[in-house]
Amino acid sequence: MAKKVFLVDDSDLIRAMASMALQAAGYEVQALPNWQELDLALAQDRPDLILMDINMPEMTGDFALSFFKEERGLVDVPILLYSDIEEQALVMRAQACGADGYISKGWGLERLTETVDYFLHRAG
Amino acid sequence: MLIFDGDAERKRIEDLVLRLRQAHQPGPAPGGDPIPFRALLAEDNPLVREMLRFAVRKYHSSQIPKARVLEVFEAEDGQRGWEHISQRKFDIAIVDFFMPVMDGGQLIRKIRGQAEMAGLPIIAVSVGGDEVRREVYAAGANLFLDKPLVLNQLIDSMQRLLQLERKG
Repeated sequence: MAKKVFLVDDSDLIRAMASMALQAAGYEVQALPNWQELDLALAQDRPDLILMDINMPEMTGDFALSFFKEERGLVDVPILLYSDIEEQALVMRAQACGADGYISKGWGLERLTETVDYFLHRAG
Repeated sequence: MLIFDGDAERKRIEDLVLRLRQAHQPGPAPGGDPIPFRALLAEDNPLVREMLRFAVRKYHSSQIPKARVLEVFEAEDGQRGWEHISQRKFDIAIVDFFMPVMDGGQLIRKIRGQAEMAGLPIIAVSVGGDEVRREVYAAGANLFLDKPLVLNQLIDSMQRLLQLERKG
């Protein structure tokens, strides 16, 4: 059965492109535009991995990451920051919020799927 | 002059006065448990309120003595926030600007209109940039944080404001 990836990003374009790449790599993808939609999706289903953009409405991705990890019982689910901010800042923010990893949008779609492969194969 | 029509009535009024004094007094209540650490969260989005509560809990667990139990009061609009704030003393208020019924600016003005609440640390949070920033500072907020909120920035802001307040 295909592993499930939740992708949270407020950009329609990023959601469309990243979903297409991940689906082509064999993942089942739920693309969500905001934290409310993520919360609703989590009430229905448990993903194998979550990708979170940083620059989102209301709360940044690193704030939301800490919140969802602790408050929605996602300690065992890998959550990665997925952002276009400068890479060194991305590393620091990922470490500070307890992310399992990070992916720079600048790396391109191929490396996106490779990194997701790495985390999911390592996990399972 | 107050005229009591009996000991029971006098006792009832004395108890009421004592309870009101305790509720509006920082630090340990005389002969009782320490006063709780009270935070008001006025924000109309329920999930964002929950995230703010998460941040306040993080601040409380790292900075406030365990004996001061955390009490969080939540309001989905400014009117409800005012109801909470007029009933008890708070240590900090986090107020969103865009809320139905009564917006954050109106709530902050109302709070600052009360002499006994002049020292309450208020963090205003919102989208809207400079225009909202000017409005909340004019209303009397101590600090404005632009949304999206960063967890560490929010916790540091609480720490900074509460330290300033303690120093008087």
